[in-house]
Amino acid sequence: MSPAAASVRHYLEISFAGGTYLMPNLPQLVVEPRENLAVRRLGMAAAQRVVQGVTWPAFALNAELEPVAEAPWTRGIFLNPAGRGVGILVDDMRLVAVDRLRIEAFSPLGPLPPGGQPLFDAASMQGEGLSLVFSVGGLVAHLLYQEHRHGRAD
Amino acid sequence: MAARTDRVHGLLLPIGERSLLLPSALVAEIITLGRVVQQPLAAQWILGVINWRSRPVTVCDLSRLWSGGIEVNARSRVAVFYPLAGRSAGEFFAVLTSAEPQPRVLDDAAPLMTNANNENPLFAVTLVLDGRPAAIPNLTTLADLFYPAKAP
Repeated sequence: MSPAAASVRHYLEISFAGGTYLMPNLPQLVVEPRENLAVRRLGMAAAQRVVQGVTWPAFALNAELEPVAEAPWTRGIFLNPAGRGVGILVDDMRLVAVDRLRIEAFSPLGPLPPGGQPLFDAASMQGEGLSLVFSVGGLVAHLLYQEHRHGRAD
Repeated sequence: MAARTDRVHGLLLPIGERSLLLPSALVAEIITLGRVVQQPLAAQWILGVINWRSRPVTVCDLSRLWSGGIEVNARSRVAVFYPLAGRSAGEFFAVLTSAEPQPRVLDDAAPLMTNANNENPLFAVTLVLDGRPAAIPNLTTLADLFYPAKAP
């Protein structure tokens, strides 16, 4: 878990492609409802957020985190706004206070994903189950890799 | 009578057509397979992640490294391993087995020295136990597989 994530007060519980994940609600995250986004397919990006003339692509992902053209997404969560902004489109999202969660550090085994950073760095333990917690840096790297792989949207 | 010093207390983990023989002290617990959460973009030998004693623990199907993987059914068990040497205290991992692991006490370690036809770097030694192929895993190779280019 990153030092920034260790100090967060809330996590975003997000769902897409039949899975539920969490990510730390860092101050630099921007959440936009579907109606505030340009819904058009550019490359493999299913929607875009335009910030001062710059297009930030947003990807709907399947269960293997591959971009898909169609998904019942309702919001975009944009990451890395200080640099090259990129977003993930989610079907649903809710804010969960950290004191309602049991977050444990998690180090995935095996080779790094194509983005070059671990996608997950913690897990939220719930009863007999758990939800994986995205590393924001790892998710940004994965989305930027998808943008590079499929061509920039602008 | 003095205790024999070459006695080996082991655990035989049936994993498909092959078994892994290793020191019992490496294994923290044998459990039944509960809910497994899929880990996207994981290596093909990773089955998923389980909640073990309120810790996230990766479950590996190591048979996918030498055959097509083993079927998950009511006989399946999970061997939860203590962290490998040099790893941090919380880095438990788990291995899927196709049946209940069996304890083994080997009074003579000499048979374990055989290494016929071992071409798999995952195995330190290959042997035959009870007429079935078995192997002692190479923990250094396993660590390289689990933690490639990652500092402890």
